[in-house]
Amino acid sequence: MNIEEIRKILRTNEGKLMFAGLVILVTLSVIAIFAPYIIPYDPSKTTPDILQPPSLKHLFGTDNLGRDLLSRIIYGSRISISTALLGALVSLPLGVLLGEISGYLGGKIDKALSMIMDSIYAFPSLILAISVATILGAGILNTALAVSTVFVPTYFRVTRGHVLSIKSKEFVEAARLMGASKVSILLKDIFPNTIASIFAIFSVNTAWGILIEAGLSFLGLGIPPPHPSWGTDIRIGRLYYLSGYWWIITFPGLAILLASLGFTFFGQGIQRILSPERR
Amino acid sequence: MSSKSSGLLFYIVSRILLIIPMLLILLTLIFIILRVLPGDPVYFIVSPQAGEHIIEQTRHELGLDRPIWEQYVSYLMGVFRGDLGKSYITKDNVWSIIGRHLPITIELATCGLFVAAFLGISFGTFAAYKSKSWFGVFNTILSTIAYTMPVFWFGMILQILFAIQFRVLPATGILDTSLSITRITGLPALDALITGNMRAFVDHVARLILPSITLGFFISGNINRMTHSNVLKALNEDYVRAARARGIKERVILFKYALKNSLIPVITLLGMNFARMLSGSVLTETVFSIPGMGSLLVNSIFRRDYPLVQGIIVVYALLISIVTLIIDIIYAYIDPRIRL
Amino acid sequence: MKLLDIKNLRVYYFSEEGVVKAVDGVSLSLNKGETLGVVGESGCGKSTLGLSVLRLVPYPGKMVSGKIFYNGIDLLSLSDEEVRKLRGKEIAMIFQNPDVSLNPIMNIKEHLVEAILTHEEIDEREAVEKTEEILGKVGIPKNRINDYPHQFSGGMKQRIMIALALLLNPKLIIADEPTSSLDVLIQAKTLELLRNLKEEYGLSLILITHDFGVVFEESDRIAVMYAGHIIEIAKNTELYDKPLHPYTQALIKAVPTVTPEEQKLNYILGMPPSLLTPPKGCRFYARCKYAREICKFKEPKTATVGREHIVKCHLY
Repeated sequence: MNIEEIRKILRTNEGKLMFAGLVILVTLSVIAIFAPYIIPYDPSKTTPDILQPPSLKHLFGTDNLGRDLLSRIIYGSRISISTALLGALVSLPLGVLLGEISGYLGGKIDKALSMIMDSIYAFPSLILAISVATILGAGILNTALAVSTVFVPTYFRVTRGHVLSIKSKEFVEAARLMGASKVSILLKDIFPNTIASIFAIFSVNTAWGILIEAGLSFLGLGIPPPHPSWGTDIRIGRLYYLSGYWWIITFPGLAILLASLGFTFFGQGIQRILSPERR
Repeated sequence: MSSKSSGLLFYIVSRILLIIPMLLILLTLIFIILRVLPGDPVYFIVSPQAGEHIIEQTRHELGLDRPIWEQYVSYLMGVFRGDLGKSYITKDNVWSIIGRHLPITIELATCGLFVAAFLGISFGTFAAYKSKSWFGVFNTILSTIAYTMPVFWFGMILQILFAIQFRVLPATGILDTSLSITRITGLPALDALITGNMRAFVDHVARLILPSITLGFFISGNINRMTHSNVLKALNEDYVRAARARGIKERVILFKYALKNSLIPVITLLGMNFARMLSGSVLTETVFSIPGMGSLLVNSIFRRDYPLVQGIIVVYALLISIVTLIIDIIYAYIDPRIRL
Repeated sequence: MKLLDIKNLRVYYFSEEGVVKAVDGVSLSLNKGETLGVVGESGCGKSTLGLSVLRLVPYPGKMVSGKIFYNGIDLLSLSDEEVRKLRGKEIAMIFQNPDVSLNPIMNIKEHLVEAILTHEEIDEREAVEKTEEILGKVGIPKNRINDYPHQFSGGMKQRIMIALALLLNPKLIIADEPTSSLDVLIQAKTLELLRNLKEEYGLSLILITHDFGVVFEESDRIAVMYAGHIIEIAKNTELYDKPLHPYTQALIKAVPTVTPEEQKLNYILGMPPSLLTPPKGCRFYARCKYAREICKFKEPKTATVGREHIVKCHLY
């Protein structure tokens, strides 16, 4: 892909949205990485200034324990985003591997695997995550694992589809004729061609992971309270928001929306650029 | 005509047969998660600090001391016999507890679906028609926000705006405490109508508005996007150009040619979104304190009512299978090309 | 009396890559009752020319300049609604690919009845009667009126398209490659049907095709298009006996073979120029064996040679 092509993509609406997504992601990453240096207050330090509305002193206000919400949201980005990234990452090898095997071997194995994956995919993702989280218990790693179960079918589907479409192409045919083994064809020839699509799905899944983590934490099944996570902050705010303390839930929610929007715009942008219609 | 309907019948039967493996896979998945994953369901009920004797007794009561395959078989038999066990807390039959909560979720989901279809299809169609204007881009952003948004947060924002700020709609619950509805079908709105209890009906419907919009807007994102791109594609089809060349009115072309043809895949999408709707309903019910399946699930998890948790998840699997089947049949009914 | 008169029409597509000058200064007229063949290679702008008569040029295409008079009315000055009322009622169009020209979820009756009720204020029963009558004329049996498009063969679908075009007794039909997606045998039958119905209804016809054989078979007059220009117009026999433009001459040399496959083999060497950046001079310059210095720099004017024989070439 040369500069001219990239310019052309950026001129389209999808390209602009993808660029916006990238800007959001870079900003969030910088905030998450340098969180300890940019927070105005200690996110877990309680103060007597409880339930203060947004002001110059506390831009996003304070919560029921007098903690600065801006600092909590900045610090929360670390846990919320890393849990989602971890969830999207843990499921990747399994989904991709099964997808490659299924697509490449075809036949009964393919049929059976596809059916299993379709069934899991048809099941409500949050309820699946709730079930796993219930058994594993609360905690960052467990939440990431709960989130990741949902994603196996997404990697499976995109990899399998990709393998099917390029399996018949000439260079794979050539490798087979030259006596390459199935495993080496899968690893050397097919896998590199699927990386871009998998990356796009990874980005979209991370967005989804942020939402599932937030949902689990909101229900009290995700990240346990001492850690600042966006979903947990909203759970804390549940007792107060209807009494006029609107900021307690508004700002963490906006952070969730912004982060998942960033990953979605970015991932969908890549997906659409890769789509055959565009080529 | 008879060959057509027998073709449709054959299609339905084959679809029903296809649903069985799907249901089996889902039930197995639930079994694996709840029994095989490294987390002992016993500690789900009794504290690890409880005495050895109590732990063993609970294990036995749950049948967890039997070999895994035996547990699996008896679990499947139970589901197919329609026996989901008894609640640990209330000792009620799990089916009858679910029977009290399921209709409320179905009511909410139906209302949410109507909101979603209305928002998604009207915005998507208009955006496709005006795809060259700013509305096209605006709609792309709006629809993405709809499905990347934390649904519980959106519900809370609506509560702050309409229940606290403007005080036009109630914030939580499904009925004022001073009112009651005689239970007939289990669907509160329908029961209130049947018994002629208009005050309860109005109160209930008013309380349904915000949750339905919350759930509906969340689901509308996908429908909106798909309608947008399908109508756009359909408007470029040759048969649309041919219809224009016959002088067919633009309004007719947009609705009868472009939209109607686009709705067939949108209906399938509605089916696929049923799962998202159930996910969304868990969060929506929690925010609005609606005593449906989602609230029941969350509460029974916190009360550590293991048989009830398992039963609820099994019922979700059954619902998903049934809705998949229904959507397939509707699809075949609408599209004349499938019937043959 | 001229039924249709196109004057110096320019239709450009404003695409992301640049401006595609698909129709670039075309003048053409059609007499009542006449069949005019418009012939040219694919991508020469002939389909765009056909679509612009109905003002159906798709986005990002635009009619930049010129005039189209139908029965003395300037089509380009009409409102969208006025043009819509002409479509199907006065001027009808038949498209290339019948497989995708019918709405897959509407049956045949719905298609025809809808078209009738759009333009005429009659009740539905009369419309159904009219539908059955016209379908009979194109040889679609009555009992298939409730069938859906996918239940018909390609040739039958094109006959349904013809029925749809004739339905409201239009005065002019524009047929854009009406038979090129059909196999040879069906092609001949469909053309015969179209010819007979044209006589019966007293229609005028513009037949757009890349197939010189079809054009000589069917047309009274022939216009040859090349890279957005009309390079020669003449009466059928005149063009056949005395082609003036080097491009026409080369094309005619290619015709008298038996099958379309062989015909392609006899085609002229080289490719038509890109309509994004058409050459400054004659557009056929690069492929012309009579090319001279002037042809490279100066666009030839149209010259009238003999009776109604128009040619756009520096040789004349």
